[in-house]
Formats: sequence, C-alpha cells, structure tokens
Amino acid sequence: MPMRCDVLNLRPITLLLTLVVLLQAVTVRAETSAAAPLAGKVDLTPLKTLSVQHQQTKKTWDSWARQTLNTIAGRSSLDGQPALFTLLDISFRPEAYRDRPLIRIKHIPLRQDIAAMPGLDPAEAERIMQEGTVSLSFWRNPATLAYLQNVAARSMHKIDAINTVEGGAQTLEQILRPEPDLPTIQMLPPVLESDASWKTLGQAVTLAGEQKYDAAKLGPVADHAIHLLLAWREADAAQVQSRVNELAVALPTIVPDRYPAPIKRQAEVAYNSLYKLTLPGAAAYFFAFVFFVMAAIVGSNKLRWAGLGLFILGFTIHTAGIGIRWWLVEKSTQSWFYAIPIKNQFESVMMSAWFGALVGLALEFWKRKSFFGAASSFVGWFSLIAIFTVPYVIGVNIGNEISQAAGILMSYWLYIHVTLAVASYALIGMSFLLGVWWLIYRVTGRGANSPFAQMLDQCNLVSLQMAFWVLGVAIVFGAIWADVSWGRPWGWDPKETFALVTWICYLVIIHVRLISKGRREFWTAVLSIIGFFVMLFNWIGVNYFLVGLHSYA
Amino acid sequence: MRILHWLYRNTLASVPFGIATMILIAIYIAIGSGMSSVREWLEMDEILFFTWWPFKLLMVALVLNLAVVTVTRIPLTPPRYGVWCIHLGIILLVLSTGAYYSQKVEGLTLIPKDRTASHFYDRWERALYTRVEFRQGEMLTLEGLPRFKRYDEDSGNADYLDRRSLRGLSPNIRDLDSETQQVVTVPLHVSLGAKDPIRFDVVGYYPYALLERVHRLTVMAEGFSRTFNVHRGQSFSIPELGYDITVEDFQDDFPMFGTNEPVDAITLDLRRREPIDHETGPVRRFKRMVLEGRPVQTDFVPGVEGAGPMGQRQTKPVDPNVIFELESDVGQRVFEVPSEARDRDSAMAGENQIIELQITSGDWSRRLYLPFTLFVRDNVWPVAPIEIPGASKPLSLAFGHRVRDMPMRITLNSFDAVPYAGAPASARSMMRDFVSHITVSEPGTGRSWQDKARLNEPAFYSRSLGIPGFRESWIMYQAQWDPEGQRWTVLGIANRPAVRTMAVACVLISFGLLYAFYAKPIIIKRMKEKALREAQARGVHKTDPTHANAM
Repeated sequence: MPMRCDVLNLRPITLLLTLVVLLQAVTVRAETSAAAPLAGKVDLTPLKTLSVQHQQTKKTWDSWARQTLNTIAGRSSLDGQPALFTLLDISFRPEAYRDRPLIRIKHIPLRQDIAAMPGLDPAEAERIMQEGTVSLSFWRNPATLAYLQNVAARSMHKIDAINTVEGGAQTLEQILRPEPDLPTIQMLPPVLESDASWKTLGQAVTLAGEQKYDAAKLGPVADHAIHLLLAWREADAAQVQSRVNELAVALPTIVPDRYPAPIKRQAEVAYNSLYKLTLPGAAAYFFAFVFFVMAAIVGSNKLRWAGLGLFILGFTIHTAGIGIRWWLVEKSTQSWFYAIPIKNQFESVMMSAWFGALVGLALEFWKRKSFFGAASSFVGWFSLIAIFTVPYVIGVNIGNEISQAAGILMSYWLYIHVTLAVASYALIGMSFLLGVWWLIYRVTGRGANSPFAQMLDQCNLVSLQMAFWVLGVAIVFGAIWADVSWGRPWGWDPKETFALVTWICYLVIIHVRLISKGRREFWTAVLSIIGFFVMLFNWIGVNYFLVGLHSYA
Repeated sequence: MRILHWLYRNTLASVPFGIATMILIAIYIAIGSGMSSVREWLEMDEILFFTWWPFKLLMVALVLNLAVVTVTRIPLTPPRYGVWCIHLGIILLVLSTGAYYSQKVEGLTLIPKDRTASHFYDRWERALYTRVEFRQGEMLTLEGLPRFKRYDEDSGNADYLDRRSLRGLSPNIRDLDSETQQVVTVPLHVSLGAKDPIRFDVVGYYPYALLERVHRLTVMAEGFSRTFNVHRGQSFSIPELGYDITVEDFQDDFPMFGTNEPVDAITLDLRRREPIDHETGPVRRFKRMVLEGRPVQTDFVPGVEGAGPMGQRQTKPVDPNVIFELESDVGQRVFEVPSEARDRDSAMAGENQIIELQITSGDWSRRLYLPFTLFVRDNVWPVAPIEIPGASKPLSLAFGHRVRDMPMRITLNSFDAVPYAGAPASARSMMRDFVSHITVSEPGTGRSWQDKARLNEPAFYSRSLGIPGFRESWIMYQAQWDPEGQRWTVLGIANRPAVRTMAVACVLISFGLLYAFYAKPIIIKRMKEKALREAQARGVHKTDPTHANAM
C-alpha cells in the first residue's frame, strides 16, 4: 500500500516542509544501483504533454527533456529510453548517475587533453577518447579542474570547448542534485496576469499574497509529485504509473487559463516523435523524385501523376511541419508574426525547401513535363534529409529544437530578407539539378538540340531567372536591414559578399547566353552547378569557415 | 588609330570583356572576403581591400563597359527598357557606392546614464593621445598603422613603420599662458616644462599581444651567482648547478604564511638532473616559492598523496645550498598570443593590440609599450604617467580609436534591457530588445527632442548642408549594453552618404530584371503579332521578325 499524504488543506509552508521531510526520508534509503529498475515498465506519455517554461520558451516536458539531455549528453535518448525517463531517473536516483560518464565532450583535442591527464587509468583514457564522455564527479574533481585550468591557460581556443562541456555539467547538476529530488523546472504558470515567469513546484508552495496558488489544486499535485518520487525509488511501477497519470491530469488544472491547450501540447509531442516531420516529408519527396525522373525519361503520364501525388503528399507533410512549428513557436512569442519559423538554420532550410516545392509544384502544373517536379522534389528531399542528419552526423546544433531567437532577429526585415534569400536558394538548387541532368544527358551521347535537352535548358533558365531576381531583391532588402541594424547597408561581411558572388555568377550566365550561341546550354548547365556550390558555401560554409556578422544565418 | 579602335572594340564595347570584368570582380570579392590571410598579408581590412586601386580599376572598367555597350549596342526600344534600367542601375550603384565609401564615417559612442556624448570612436582609425595633468593634447591619428602582423626590430620588419604618420610625431596642446592667462596652443614640451621638443616614433606593433611583467631573479650558491630577467612561463637552465627551472607563477601581494603580510612572490618549478637526498627521500623535482625581500625559501614536493596542487610543503628546503632572490617588476615584455589562441571577438575589436613607442627629448630617449584602450577618452589610461627629465609635469599617453565629433549631442535618459518572458534582465537571460531612451540635441540651433534607439529601430538625425534638398543623415543604432545594472549604453554612430541614390539604383535594377525577364517576352510576342497583322494587312505572306532572343 503506497504512502498517502493528504495535503489538500495544508498551508504552503507546511507543504514545503512535508516535501523536505519526505525527501530526507527517501535519502536514507538511497540505492546505488546503476541500472534503471523501471526501464520499460512505465509509460511516461501522459507526462510528456505537460508544459514547462525552459530557457524563456514554453514547451512540453518531452521537448524540455530532449533538449536538456542533448545539452548534457549530445543525444536525445539514453539506454534506449525516452529522454524524459532518463531525466526523471537521474533526478530520482542521483546516486546511480553521479559517477556515470554522461557529459559529452565533442571537441576531439579536448578529449585528447583529458585522456592525457596525469594519473588517469589508461583504460579510462581510452574510453574517454572513444566515447567522449565523462562523469559529473570526474568533471567536478579538484584535480580535473586544476588540470583544465592549465589546459585553458596553455591554449585559449580550448576555453570555448571547456565552457561547452561545463554548460553540460551545469545542466546535469540542475537535474542531478545531491539528494533525490524533483527536477527544478518551471512547471506552473504564474497566477498573476502581469507575471510572465512560470514557477517551480518549490516556489509555488511558498508564494503568498496575490501570487498564491490555490492550495486545493496545488496540494494534490505536490502529493502526486512526492509519491511519484517515492514510488520511483521503490521501483513500484504500478504506483509510478498511477502517479504519472494523476499528475498529468492535475497539473494543467492549477492555472487552467494560462496553461497551453492540450491539442498544442499533444501536437508538439507528436511533432517530436515524427522527427519534426523531416523524415516522412523527405521519404515522400524522394519517391516523387524517382517517379518524376522516370516519367521524364520514358514520357509516361501515369508515372508523372504518381510522382505528382507523392510530391503533393510530401509537400503536405512539409507544410504541416512548418505549420506545426509556427503554431508551437507562437506559444512563446505570443505573436503569430514573430513566430514565423525562419530564424535559424533548421527553420531556414525547411522554409527554403518549402518555397522550392511550392514554386516547383506551380511550374510543374504549368509545364507538365516532370522536370520542375523532379527538381523541386530533389530540393525538398535533400533539404529535409540534411536538416535531419546534420545534428547526428557532425554534431552541430542547427536549431532543431524550438527556442527563442536573438533579439536582433525579431524584425520584419528578417522575414522579408531571409524568406527571399532562402527561396532563391531553393530555386538555385532546382537549377543545379536541371544543369546536372542536362550534362548527364549530353555526356551519355544525346544531342544538345533534342527536344528533351531543349526543354531541360528552358526549365533551367526559368529557375535561374527567378533565382537571380529573388536573390538580387533579397540582397537589397538585406542591405536595408543592415542599414538600420548595423548602421551601414554594406559592410563587406562574408555572407553579403558571397551572396553577391552568387548573384554575379548568375549575371554571368545571362550574359554568356548572349555571346555563346552554340554552347549556351552547356555554359548555362556548368555555371548553374558552379552557382549552386557558391550559394551552398555562402549559406552553410561561411557560417563555419569565416568570421562575420551572420553567425545565426 | 587602328589599335585604339581595336582596343575600344575589344574592351569598352565588348560583352566578353564585360563578362571577364564581372568574373574578375567576383574572384576579387571571393578572395578579399573568403581568404582573409591574403588581406592580412597586405595589411588591409575589408574596407581598405575593397577600396584598393585594383578593385576601383575593375569597377571603372565595368562602368565604362556597361555605359558604352548600353549606348552603342542596345537600342532604346520598349523591349530593351529593362536592360537599360539594369545597366543604369548598376552604373548608379557603383558610383554611389564609391561616393558612400569615400565619405563614410562610423563608430561607437559610450554614454553613461544621464550623461551627454558629443564624440564617437571611429571604427577603423586609431590615434595616439597625450595628456598633461588635465589638459588633452592634440590627437595624433596613426594612419598606416598595421593591423594583422607583428612589426618590430626583433622581427626585422620595423621599417614598415617608417611612415610620416607614425614617425616624428610632435603634438601641440592647449594650455594656459602663465603671463596672459589666455588659452594658447603650445608644443607639448612647453606645456610639460621641458627644455627640448618631444617626439614620438611608433617603433613596434603587435596585433594581439599581452604585456608581461619581467622580474629579476638572482640565483646564488657557493661560488656561484647569476641574475636572470624572467617572466611567467619562462624556462631556463643552470648547468653549473644541475637545474632546469620554469617560472610557474608570479603573485602580487601574496599573504605571507603566518603574518599575512602582503609580498610579491614567484613560484619556481625546479628539476634536478641528479636527485637530492632529502628527509622525505631522494627528490628530483620540487617547487620553490621565493618572496621579494625575504630570505625565506619555501619548498614543496609534488606527487605526494593528500597534498594540494602545489605539493607537500617541506619544513626544510630541499636544496638549502641554492638561494634565490627576487626583484619584481623590473620591466615589461610583449607576449604575442598565438593566432589559434586568440579570442575572435577581442581580435575583431582590436582590444589586444599594442604599440611600442619611442619617446625622445633632446638626448633622452625611452621606449614603452602602449596597450590599446577601448573608449579611450572615457576610460582610465592603463600606462602610468611618464617623467621626462627636465620636465616639471608628468606626461600621460594612451592608444585608442580615433575620436570624432558628432554633429549632434546625445543624452542617455534611461536604458531598458527587455528579456523574453520568464527571466530577469540579466546577462544570462535571452534578450528580446534593448532600448536606449535618448535626448538628441542640435548644438547650433539648441533644438532638442526625445528619441529611442532600439534593436532594428535606430534613431536618425539629419542636418541641412546649406544647399536646398541636400541634407546629411546620421544614424544612431543600439550596439552594446551594460549587463551589470544597465548603467550605460553604447550606440553605433554613422553617417549615410549617398544611401538614397543607392536605393534608387537598386529599384532600377530590380524593376529592370522583372521587365527583362517577364515583360519583355510578352512585348516581343505582341510586337511579332502586330508585325504579322500589319504584314497580312499589306498582303505580305512571309515576315522576318528580326527581334532579339528571348533573354
């Protein structure tokens, strides 16, 4: 029979004291087992849809857990368990995780430094090199700290890497407390309308006056939370499940008017579990691409319709991905306009591909030759696969998780400038594919004057003309934004200059077509490919290889 | 004449020449922007590189080519209006950009709350500042001062600094005439009360360096005494005594064991080639803390279990036969931070640059290092005033951004850091906006008004240039803020020459492109149809519409 504590009628301070006493009692019976006894035995789905304010953004517990675990361990699940399970297990059984190597060191030279630490067991040094993880106890060890100070003093460029690991360690410390505890997350909306800061359960029970929560509602939540902790430590799966279910029902009722709508929370969890709709969209686009290419080659209308159907399916999923994200971001910005999801690399690539798909769809309906369909579905597939894969492959955070943007980005100019820029990138991507296709067609011995080659060239021309104009206007609007934001319309920043180089590349194509009568299609195809790589360097490469003001772009 | 005609036909009137020029411009831009090492090798920042003569030459070639090709090869007919617009727009854009960069000034101004700023710090140019007591000397702009590489005698490239703007500098200063009590401009040495004129020469430049303190360490043993000038991190050997020594640390005002009396201390890491027999056993390596002006030599043996990071403190010196004496701060040295260890933001702001200055007055001469000071007029100068022999007053020197006067005055009334919901306005929170509430006033007219400079919403000021329709526009944008209490703001200040002309050029280009891509085919189609209709009306069955291609 689980412990029962009726807290309905207790005053807040009594609630807090009860909480402390219970936690102390729990501590006495601390276990030391590293295995998670409840793994696979409880379903935390009801908790996933609860809301939290984290890093000044309202999100579900599911999103919070994924982001937090990612900050600590560089991954969004551990031991095959959902992130939320892992974080709760860390909070409730800290002793099992204190010495467990969880904190990720992405920076290889820093790993090498740590592996070379005097006195470190060679097997552990090898493990650190291979797995790139250290435990909190290791990281907080005075010997490690002293050694890292030396590393930082010797090579200042490792300070950033050390600070990143330290960020992970601090995040872990917020979860992994000295004693078993509830995660200190801002899980309760404030009572006062004027207050925008959500409260932790600990804060909530101590608030008085106008900010005081309704004890009749808060009491059961505290009761469920405490007993969830107790049951978790007892590995009582049935009791844990019961408390999870009750907590999930009770928490949104405390300040119901300010709690995000259930449908929004459920949509966020579904969005997370469907890989933010990147993979499903990419799959549909890929098959559409295959069908369109086959349709163009064999001239089959049936294949084209199949491709079109898959393309529309991919576009619908893609649109849903953007729409859901927009809807979810609005929760934190309180403004539909400022919630438009185009503020980081993940969102801009997603939006770029969407514009490409939209234009490609319209052109495909107009021309009905499968070329635009193939080009835009290729762009859609490539983009969605890229944003899904990049964080896993190269470990770079491109903004997959919903968070607040830097203040400088909260401008209508962002939507005008960036929207146009990414739209032009999609068109450049389409032009690239059509250029490659034309070259392959030529290399395989087919004539440049065949109707197929002519059509490919004309489609390429349509794409690159649009890309050229849209990119030019994007550059102009970027200059206007730079003028009001940085005091100069043009500062020879690498992002600006390589956008201009890309534009010049297309300017050259247009003029080369004028003078190179016999080989205009060839040069158009070649320069489309060169232009694509210049654009790609501008979009992605500049951020990582050059120093400039567009670090978020 | 024939050659000139050939040249004209193959350059100014040639489309391939125009294409080649565009490709060269793209390559030039890609190199200047993407290969910073090339610019740095040339000692040029972006502005210098993109206003350098090769780039100007390319731009002139492009403008001339565009102008000639447009006039001679493109008829001004309805289908060609778009091309004309584009070409005119590009010409106008190039010319207005040239005007923009020739007149552009920009920088930052630091304004504490309730204070008024009348100057700003130029973003690019740097200057040498002098001060005698509270009187500011004439600012000496250091044009041609390098930015990216080290220059000094040790590097063998000090002759790069042999330029008029960096050598033989001798500022004036506004001083009070002791007899007439009038403010007069006098040479610096007069104000200082020195007999001989004072001249400054920049003899060294370090783009990213730290000033390290140099100490004198005397090592004594039986029949042996040697003095070394040492700094933190330095290693040296004394083969006669069998020691390899590294200066591990230097501490100011180290509290002495027991008395807590502050004293300068140096920590040495001593490695013996042969072990010393000590009471704890043979010792090959130990640390010694040497205190300035104290005979105490405290030794620590590292690697002892349970000991602190210094090692286990010994009650007796490990090697009592070797004695060290410390004399702290006998000089300074420049430590150039390796490029891979530089902080990117500091490097971009130039915070860690240092110049080596030679000061000469008659037969007296002295060299000193001047580190860069941000907001130099508003900050404490880091180098202590210098006593010049024969002068009655000390001379203060500083090195910082060039100060420029603003045409307006800006008073900071208040500053708001606006975080996103759910966090306080602290440095750790994500900020939604920064707002400087300012009063802008015009010195000439006394006119003043309240304004706000916030992210993406700057404040503007414009003044008449005395010619109807011509005004000079200035922008004040939010640049930096004080995370600790919002006591000050930093606004970006810049003029905006030729910006409207550039905007008109961009509109022309954008409109022209739309016209050429999407209106021109329709116009040509209609012209063809009209020609066909007219031909049919005239009874002609075949037409030869010699119109241009669809591009």
